[in-house]
Amino acid sequence: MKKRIFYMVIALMLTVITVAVPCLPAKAEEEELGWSRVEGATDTQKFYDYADEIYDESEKEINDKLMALSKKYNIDVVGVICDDYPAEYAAKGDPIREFAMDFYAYADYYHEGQFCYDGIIFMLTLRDRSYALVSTGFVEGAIDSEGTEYIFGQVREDLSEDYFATAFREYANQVDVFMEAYEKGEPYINGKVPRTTGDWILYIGIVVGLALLIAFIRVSSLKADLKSVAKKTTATDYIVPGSLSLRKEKDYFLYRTTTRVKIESSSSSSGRSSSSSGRSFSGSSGHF
Amino acid sequence: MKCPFCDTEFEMETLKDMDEAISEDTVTEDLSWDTNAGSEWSDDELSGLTSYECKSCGAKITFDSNTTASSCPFCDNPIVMTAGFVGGLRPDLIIPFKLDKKAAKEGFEKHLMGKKLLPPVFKTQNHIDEIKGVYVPFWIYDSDSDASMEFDATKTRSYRSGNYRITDTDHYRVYRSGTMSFQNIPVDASQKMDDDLMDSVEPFDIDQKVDFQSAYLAGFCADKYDVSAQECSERANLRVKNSTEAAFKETVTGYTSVVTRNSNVSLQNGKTRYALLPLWILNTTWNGEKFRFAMNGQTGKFVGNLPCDKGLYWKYFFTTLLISGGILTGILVLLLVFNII
Repeated sequence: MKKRIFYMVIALMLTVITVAVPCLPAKAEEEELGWSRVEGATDTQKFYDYADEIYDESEKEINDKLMALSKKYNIDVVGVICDDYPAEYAAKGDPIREFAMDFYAYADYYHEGQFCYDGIIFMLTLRDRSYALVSTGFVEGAIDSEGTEYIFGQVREDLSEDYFATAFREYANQVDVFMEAYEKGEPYINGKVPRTTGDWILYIGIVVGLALLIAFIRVSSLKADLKSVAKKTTATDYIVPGSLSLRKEKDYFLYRTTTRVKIESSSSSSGRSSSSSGRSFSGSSGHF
Repeated sequence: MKCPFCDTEFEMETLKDMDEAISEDTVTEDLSWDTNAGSEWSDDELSGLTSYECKSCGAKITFDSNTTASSCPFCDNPIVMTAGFVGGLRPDLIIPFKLDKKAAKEGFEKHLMGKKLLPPVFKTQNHIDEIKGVYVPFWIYDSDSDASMEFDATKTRSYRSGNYRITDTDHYRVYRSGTMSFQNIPVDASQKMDDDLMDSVEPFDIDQKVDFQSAYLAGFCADKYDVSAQECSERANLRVKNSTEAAFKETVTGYTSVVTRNSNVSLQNGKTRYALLPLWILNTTWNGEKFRFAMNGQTGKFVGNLPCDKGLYWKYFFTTLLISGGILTGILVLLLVFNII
C-alpha cells in the first residue's frame, strides 16, 4: 500500500511539474533569456523607441496610432526600434525574428483585464539594420507571411533612407488595410495583397509600354521591308570552297584567374515559427 | 616567372614556345593587286560601237552602232552622240543578260508587292517602261590570302563551394596562320552607280562568263569604268580581310570567349579582270526624291530602297497600338480576376 501511495505521489509530482513548468512566472525564463521584461508593456504603450531615433512628438503620435488600431481590432499592433538584439540571440538562426517573437510573447499585452494573444509586431535593430515583422493569433489569418513581406515592401524605401517615423506610420496604415479586409471576410492572404495607386499606375504603364513597343516593332519591321540596299563588308560568297588551309594552329595556356563571390543568403526569410514561449508566429525578417 | 604588377605566374616553357611561334611565322600585311586588267580594242570592234555622253551626269555610254538612245540610263537626262567610239579598255569578260525586259518589269512589280508602307501612288507614278538594260563595268578580283592571327581566348568554369561561387578562368594565347582563296569578287567601277546598290545586287555567277564580244551589247548599253582597279581594290581588300579574319576566328573553337589580338593579312597571286555585268536599271522620282532600282540581269535579284508613306506609317502604328493595347488590357483583367497577380 505504501508502495502504491509512493508511486501515486511520484506520478502526481511529475504531472504537476510537466504542467506547471511552462507556466512558471516569466522571471526564470527572463533569467534564461538574459533580458528583462518590457518596461511599461501594458495596454498604454505599443511603440518603443529604445534607439531614440524618433522625436518625442512623432513617437507619441505613432504610439497613439498603434493604440487606436489595437483598440479598433482588439489586437496588439506593436512597433519597436532598438540598437541591437541581446547578445544571447546572436547564436540563434534568425536572431531578430526570435527576439521580436519573445519580445511580443513576454510583453503580456492584455485588453480589458484579459491577456491578448492576437497581434503583430514590427521590430528594427539598427546595428545590423535588420527587421522582423511577425503576426500571431488570429492576426495570422489576416496578415500571413506573404502579407508581412508586402507590408515590409511598402516601408523598405523609407527604412533605407532612415525615415523611421514615416515607415512606422505606413506600417500602421497597412495593418489597418489588412485588418479591414479581414473583417469584411476578404482577407489579403495566400498571395493576395492590397493594390495601391502605384500598382495601378504600374499595370497601366506596363500595358501602355508594351502596346507602344509592339506598335513600334511592327512599323519598324514594315519600314525595314522597304530597304533592300546595304553595303557588303565581306566576301563570303566568293571564298573558294575548301581553300582554307592552316599552316600553324597553336594554343598556349597562359594562366588561371579565380574569382570568389560570396553567395548572399536571401536578404529576407518568411514563414511560420514558434517563439521560446511556445506561441506561433507568421511573418518575415531580413535586412533593410 | 611572376608578373611584378599582377602576380600572375607564367610557365617559362610556354613563353619560350610563344616567342618561337611568333617569330617563325609572321605574315607582313601586303594588300596589293596586279591591276593589269582589260585589253586593247580591235579596229573592227571600234567601228561597230558608238559612244554617247550624258552632259548631266557625265556618263560615257557605249552602244552598238545599230542602237540609238536618247536618254541616259543613269539619270534619264538627254544624251548626245560623241564622234565615234571613245577608247578605254576592252573588257576581259562579259556575263550576257539572261533575263529580258519583261522579266525585269515583273521583278519590279514583285519588288513592290506586300510593302504595306509603300505610297499607293508610287506604283502608278513611276515609269516602269523606262527600265533599261545596262552592262555595268566591274573589276573582278581573284586572290589567295595569307594570314597570321593572334587571339586571346578564355575558358570559364563556374562552380559552388560552400557559400561561395567560384569562377576559374583559364587564359590562352592562340595562333593561327594559313591561306585561303577568293575568286570573282566584283567591285563596281562606275562612279555613277551607288556602291551599296551594286553590293546588294550580288552575287553574280562569274563562272557563266563569256569572252567579251561587242555583239552582246546589241539592244543594251554599256557604261565605261571611271574608277580604276587600283582605287576599287580598297573595297575588295576590306572584304577579303574581313572574310579571312572571320574564317580564321571560326577555327578557334572550344573556348568561352575569343578576342582578336593581332591580325596580318597579305594577298598573293592577286589579279584583276575587267568585266561587264548585266543589270536592269530603273530611275524614278517621287516627291522630289530620286530612287534607283537595279535587277541582276543574270539571277533576277531585285533591289532598291522604296519610299515610306508617313500617313500609312502612323495609321499602322496607332492601329497596332489599339489592338495590342486592347489584348493586353484583356489579359491584365483576366490575371486580376483569377488572382494570378
